Amino acid sequence: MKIVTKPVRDLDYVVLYANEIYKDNSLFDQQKELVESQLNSSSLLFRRKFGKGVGFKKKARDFLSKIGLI
Amino acid sequence: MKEKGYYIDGETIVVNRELNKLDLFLKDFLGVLREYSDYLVVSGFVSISTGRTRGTEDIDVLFPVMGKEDFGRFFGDLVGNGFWCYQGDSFEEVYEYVENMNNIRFARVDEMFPNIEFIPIDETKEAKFFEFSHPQKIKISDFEFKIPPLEFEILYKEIVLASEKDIADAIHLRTFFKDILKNEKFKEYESIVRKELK
Repeated sequence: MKIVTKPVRDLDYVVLYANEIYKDNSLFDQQKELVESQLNSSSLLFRRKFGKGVGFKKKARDFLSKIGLI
Repeated sequence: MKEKGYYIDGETIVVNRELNKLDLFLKDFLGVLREYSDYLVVSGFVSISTGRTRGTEDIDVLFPVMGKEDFGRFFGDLVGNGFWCYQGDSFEEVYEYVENMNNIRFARVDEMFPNIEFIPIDETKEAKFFEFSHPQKIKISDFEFKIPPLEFEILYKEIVLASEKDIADAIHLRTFFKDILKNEKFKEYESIVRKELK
């Protein structure tokens, strides 16, 4: 009988997922959705915040300067 | 039928999945960079590209510090290919960062994220220069690129970076690649990685 240890800590889920994705690459489809969803949300957020074109860069740099990234 | 997450083809790790938008962003950047310089993709993207399920805002890319003329051509080509630089629009002002060994960032026009954190290195940065000089090839679909040796990347995350996120990334790599990691390489690399702490 296979004994399955129930994940308890966050890191247990990291181990569980790494084991499962190694055995079954179809789980990469879920990962792709998560990664792209974050990118799409971020893109939408900053387009709404800074617009497009020359104005985008100026506003983006002001923002980056305020948060200490440049 | 289930297929494994990766396999080894000669010296290359082949991750068995389709490309996503994050991969394509890096692929476009490296498509320009390769004409001008060698490089190494390090840190979070190594874990994410091999299945770690978390978001990221940047992809770290090491490059050997380049001369001003080469950098100018590279910068112009990047801009022509739809990228912008956080630090400035002219290569002269941005090159000052490179000259002083400071990181710079590039994103696609009208986007903030993802961005490439572009990290100049030279031989004085011993650990980084070591990983740069010992690349591991990895391939996803038709996109092949270079990463550090897996054991080095794991130790770097555990010993040098060591945040909660980095420890989780290291655990992912140790688990996903458990069949191919080599103890002797961990031993060999540890003292080199620890130099980064000094």
